[in-house]
Amino acid sequence: MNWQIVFGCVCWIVSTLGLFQLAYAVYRPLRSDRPAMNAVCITFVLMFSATLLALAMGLVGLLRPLPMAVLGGGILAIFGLLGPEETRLARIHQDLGRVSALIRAWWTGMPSWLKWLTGIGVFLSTLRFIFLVLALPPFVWDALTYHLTNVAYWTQQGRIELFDTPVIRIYSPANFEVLTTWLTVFLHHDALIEASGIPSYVLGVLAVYATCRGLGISRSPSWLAAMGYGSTPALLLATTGTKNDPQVAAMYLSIVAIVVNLVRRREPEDNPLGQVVLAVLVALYALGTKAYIAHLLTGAALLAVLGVWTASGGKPWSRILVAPRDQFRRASAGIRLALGALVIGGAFLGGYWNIRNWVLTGNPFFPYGVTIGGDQVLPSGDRTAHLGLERLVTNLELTGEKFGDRLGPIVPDLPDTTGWGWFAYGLGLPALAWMLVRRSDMRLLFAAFALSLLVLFLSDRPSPWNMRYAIWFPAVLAIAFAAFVDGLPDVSAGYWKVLIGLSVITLGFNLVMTVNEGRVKPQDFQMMLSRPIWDRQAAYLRLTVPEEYANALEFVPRDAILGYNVTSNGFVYPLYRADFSQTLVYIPLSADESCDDVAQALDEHGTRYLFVAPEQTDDGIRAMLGRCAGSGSIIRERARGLYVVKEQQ
Amino acid sequence: MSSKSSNSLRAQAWVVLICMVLVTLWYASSQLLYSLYFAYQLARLLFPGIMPDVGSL
Repeated sequence: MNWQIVFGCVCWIVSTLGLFQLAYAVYRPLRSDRPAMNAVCITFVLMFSATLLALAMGLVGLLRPLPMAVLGGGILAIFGLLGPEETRLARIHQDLGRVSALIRAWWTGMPSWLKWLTGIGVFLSTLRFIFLVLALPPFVWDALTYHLTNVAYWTQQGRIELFDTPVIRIYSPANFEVLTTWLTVFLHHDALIEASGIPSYVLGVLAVYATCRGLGISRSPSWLAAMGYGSTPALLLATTGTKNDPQVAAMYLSIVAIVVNLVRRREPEDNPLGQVVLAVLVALYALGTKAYIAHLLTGAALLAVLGVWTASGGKPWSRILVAPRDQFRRASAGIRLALGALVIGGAFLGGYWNIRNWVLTGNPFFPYGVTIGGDQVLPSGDRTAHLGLERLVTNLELTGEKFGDRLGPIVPDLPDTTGWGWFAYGLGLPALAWMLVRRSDMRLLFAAFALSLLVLFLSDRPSPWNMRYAIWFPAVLAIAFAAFVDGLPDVSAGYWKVLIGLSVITLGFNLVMTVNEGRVKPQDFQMMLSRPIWDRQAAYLRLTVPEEYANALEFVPRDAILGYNVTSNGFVYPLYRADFSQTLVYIPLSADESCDDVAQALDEHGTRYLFVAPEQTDDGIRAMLGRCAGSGSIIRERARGLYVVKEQQ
Repeated sequence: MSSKSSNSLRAQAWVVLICMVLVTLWYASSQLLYSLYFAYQLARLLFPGIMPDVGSL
């Protein structure tokens, strides 16, 4: 085990160095003349490059530590020997020196109270992330059904492909899951898997900061807004909940930041072509994560159109259409080639999943069918994405009920709350109301966010969990707060004390209420922490997982094939084990089969073991298996939920 | 900026700040107990016998 970990870590380091080299090369033609936008750009480009490399390697069956390290080493060698001068190590070193100087100047320019707040806030947030990632295994419903089931299978097989399972949501676009494999492939373990949302979290926070800066808001309030959004409970819970919604939120906010910086800045962008291409890449990447980004983009489009229309000091459209076109005409062949290659890479990440589904099932959005109004536009697998005004009304009613988070604690699936938290409500709402009166650019920004939300609500399934897709919305409240603070007149020291006190209280409560993911009891932490870090199995944390899963881990040998039967919304991931050592096979069954038929089905799939669980498996099938075990047939119950074919004497 | 206009802006800023305090109190009226629940349970676990059991949420 130790040797495997050392080997994995070495491969991880080499691969990551190669990734950094590639990301730097990708970043150069896209970068802006604004440091805030460059922070957004490099963070996105790292995610983009990592996903692209992992997807390419996974599709050819080389998603393993050594091939990934060879690829990383190859990238380093190629850029080191043959790459253009400006992407080589010496230039990277120079740029890092500049970044370091910029960060020092940025830090020095902040008032001391904000330095303290930042230092303590970042330290505690980092501790929270490290603690939750290391202490808890994944436990959020969708992660255990399909997000991480994909990751587990791909990591185990070293190949990104479809596999036989009743959970057909594994067909969904999966850029988030591909990115997650960077945390599982090298250690061949899920100890760090819950860190997979952190890059998106960082990107979202930086995008809020960049949007504020694009609106002309000074650094300190912009940073306060970024921290305020970063403390949003719904975002924090989803980030360590291995859900892909933070990734979509981060992409949406990045596009908003790019558009704001392109159309609202006083000085035109130096590299409008690169920034437009960056926006296209972000949108494509998000399309390969979750299709509802298409709904959100309507708001970004409104922002672009009205932003250009109302911008001062420039001809309409010049900044986002004419200037990039002129720049493209002037660009060298190398730049054109690089940008073209990037767009192709983006189209691959954005289109691969839907095109694959289209080819295999005839429906690019499989397993989601699409109905608009009363018309079925695309046939459904087991779910339907419906667009209609009645959904909008129901979703708005649900949001109204949840507004103010008054019905219960905030938990990852947001059944009773918006999850926007103390900062967004306490400071963001009054600031937004005031800024809508005072600033036209805030009216425009709010209109964009509101349109995105309304269009999202046209199709968002009006379930108790409808707010999970709107975790980007509190960003506009945080930005409004920044605009309010930035526009404050010369107020008294007492005023500042109250304002700073409110900021500290609201940020602090947001952090405190999310330390336990909103629902994990101290005893559960105790139980998980009492186990070695390598044995904190998803099956052991019984927040959502029935106890039968732990029986499967206890009684089925690691080298045996484990058969399972769950519904299309059942948990598969915990059965793989934390080190992905268990080989699984789906056993399709019906409730009216005989005991001999079950034994034969298991035999045909190469296993003696069959796992079922309450609320995960059809009750009729569980009852049938219970009858087999009680009647002295060839099937016996080894432990609750685990059936075994008796060995022949 | 005239002093009249400056005073008016300051007054407006105070109104917004008072609204922030009030909205924060409104939010606290429902979320304060939820927000502190885990910290309380943790303290009970670390210092047994001192604080009473308040049941589950």
